[in-house]
Amino acid sequence: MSRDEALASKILAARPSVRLWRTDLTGLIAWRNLAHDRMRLAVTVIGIAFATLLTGIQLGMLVNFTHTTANLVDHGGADLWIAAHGIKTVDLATPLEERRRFQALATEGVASAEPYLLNFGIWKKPNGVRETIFVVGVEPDALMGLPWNLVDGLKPRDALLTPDGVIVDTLYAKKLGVDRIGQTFEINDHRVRVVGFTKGVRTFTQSPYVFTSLRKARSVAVSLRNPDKAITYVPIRVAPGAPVETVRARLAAHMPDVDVMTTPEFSSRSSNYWLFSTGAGLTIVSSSILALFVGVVIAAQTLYASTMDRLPEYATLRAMGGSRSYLYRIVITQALIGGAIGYVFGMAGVLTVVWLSREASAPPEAPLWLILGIGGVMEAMCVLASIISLRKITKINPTEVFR
Amino acid sequence: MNGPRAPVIRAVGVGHVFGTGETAFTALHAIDLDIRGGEVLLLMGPSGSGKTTLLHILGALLTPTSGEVFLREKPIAQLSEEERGALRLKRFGFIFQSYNLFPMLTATENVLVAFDLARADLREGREKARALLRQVGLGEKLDAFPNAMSGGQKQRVAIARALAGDPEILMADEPTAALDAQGGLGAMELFRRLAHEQGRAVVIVTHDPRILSLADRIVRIEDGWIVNTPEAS
Repeated sequence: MSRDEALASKILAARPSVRLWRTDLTGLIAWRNLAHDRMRLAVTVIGIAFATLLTGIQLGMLVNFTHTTANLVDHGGADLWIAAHGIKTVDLATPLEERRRFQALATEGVASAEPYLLNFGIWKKPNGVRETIFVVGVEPDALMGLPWNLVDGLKPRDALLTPDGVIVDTLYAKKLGVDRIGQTFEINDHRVRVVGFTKGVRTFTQSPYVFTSLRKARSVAVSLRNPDKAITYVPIRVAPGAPVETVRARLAAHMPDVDVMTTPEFSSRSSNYWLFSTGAGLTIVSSSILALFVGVVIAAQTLYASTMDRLPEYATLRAMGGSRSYLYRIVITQALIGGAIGYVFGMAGVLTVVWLSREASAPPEAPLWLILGIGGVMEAMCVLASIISLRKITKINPTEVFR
Repeated sequence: MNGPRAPVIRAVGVGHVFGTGETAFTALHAIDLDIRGGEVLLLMGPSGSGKTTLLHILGALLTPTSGEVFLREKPIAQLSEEERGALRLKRFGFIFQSYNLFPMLTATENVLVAFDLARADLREGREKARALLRQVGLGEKLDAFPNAMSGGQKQRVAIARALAGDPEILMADEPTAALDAQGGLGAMELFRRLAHEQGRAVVIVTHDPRILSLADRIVRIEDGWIVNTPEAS
C-alpha cells in the first residue's frame, strides 16, 4: 500500500459527521455557474442593473414629487390647516375669509391660528424678463409657515420685517436673475428687495416660492378681490395635550363650509392631486413596473439558458440521490447572486444620478428605505424569474443521465 | 472480503413496460437476478435489449411495472421517488458514460458535492474527497478542473465521486466507451480492486469486448430476456 493510499484509508475510515445546520456547496455551485459563462453573467447583470437604474430614478422622482408637491405643508409647522372648501392642492390656493382665523381661535383646543397667503405673482427681472412665482405671505412673528433652511441673509423675522424684503431659494436664483443679497426686482410691478436665501425649498410646479411679509404679499396681490384682508390658509397649532383629531372635529363642526385637515391629510391630498389626477404619478409608477418587467424577463431568460446548459449535471445530482430542494437552492442562489451584482451596479448608477442632480429643481431622491426596498424588490423579482427554471428542474428524470 | 456472499440485490420476476395500449413496449420480461458483493458483473447485449432499463431498476432509479427488487432482502421497488433518492445516496454509487462532472468545479469539489448531498461536514468531506482522489490515482489533480483532464482522469473523478458515500453497489454505464484501450483496462482494474478488496458489488453495462476477461460474471440480455449468465474465466 502506497503512502497516499494509507493516508486515504485512514481518512476514509473516520466516521462522517452529519450536522443539522450547515453551510453547503449550493452557493459555490451557483456562483461558479454564473462566473463560468461571463457573457451570460454580463447580460444578467446589465439587465438587472438597467432595471434597478430605471426603477431607482423613477421612484426617486416619485419620492421627490411627493415631497415637493407638499413642501409648504410639510414644513409649515402646523398641526391643522383650514382651507377653502374643495381645495385640491396647496399650490392651487383659493381665497379664504379672514374671519376663519378668528373663528378658529375661538375654538377650544386651538393654541394659535395665523393668516397665510399664497398667491401667484409675476417676477420681473432687471432685463425685463418675467417669471411666474408663488408669493408666500406670513406675519413676521408667525410660528408657522415661515421659510426654512435659510443659508444667507437676514433671519426670517428680520427679513419679513424689512420693508419690501423677500426671501428666495438658491436653486431658483438663476431663474429669477438673483445674484446677491440686496438686489431689487418687481413682483406685479411692486418693488421688492432680496434679503435672504433658502436652500432646497423646491416647488413641483417650477414656479419658485418667494417668501415675504403678509403685508407685502397682500400689497402685490392685485388679482384678489379684497387684497387687504386676503388670506388663503389658516395654519393652526393645537394647545399642548389637546388631541389633534378632536380639535379638527370641533373646527369642522364649527365651520362646515371650509376644509379642516391635519398636516398629513393636507400633504397627501396635495401630492395625490399632482401624482394621480394629472397622470404624472401613473406614468412614473407604470414606467417603474415596466423597468422591473424588462429586468425580470432578461434575468429569467439568462437563468433559464444557464439551467438548460446544466441539466445533465442536475440530472446527475438527482441520480446520485440529491433532493429537488438542493437543486432549487442552486438555481435560486444563482438568481439572487445575479440580482445582487446587478443591483449594486444599478444602485451605484442611481446614487450617481442623485448626486449629480442634487442642485436641480426636481432631482430624484434616494432615501435609505428606497435603496433597501429596491434591493428587496430586485431580489424578489430575480427569484420570480427563476420559476421557469425551477419548473424545468422539477421535471428532471434522473435516468436521462444514462442516455 | 473474499468468499461466497449473500446477494446485495435480488431481482425477482422484474419486468418493465414503457407506454400503454397500442404503443406499449415491453423492455424487460420477468428477470431474476442476484448480485453479490465482491463481484464485477457485466450486463451485455445489443442496443435496445433492455440492459440499461435493468440497470435503472436495480439502481432504484426506475420502478418496475412487475416483480420486485430486494436490497439486502428489503423490497425497494415500490418506494416513493424521494425515498429512492435517499436510498441511492446511501447505498449506490453511479458512474456515467460521459462522466457528468460539473465543469466549473475542481476535481475535489466535484467529489465534495457527493458529501454535500449527504449533508456531511464540508471540512471533513473535503479531506475525504482528496483522500478518495488519491486512492484512484489522482493525487496530482486535486485542484484541476475537468477541462484540464484526460478522459481517463475524468472517469477516475467520477469513480471517486461515486465512492464518496461508501456505497455497497457501484453502477457504471459504458465506463470504458470513451477511453482508449489502456485507459479502459485501467478503469476495469480499479473496479476489480473496489469489488475484490472492498467487497463492493460492481454492475457495469457495456458493449466493450475488451473488458470481458476482467469481469467475474457476465449477464447477456436480448429482447428483454436474460439469455445466459456465465461466470467469466
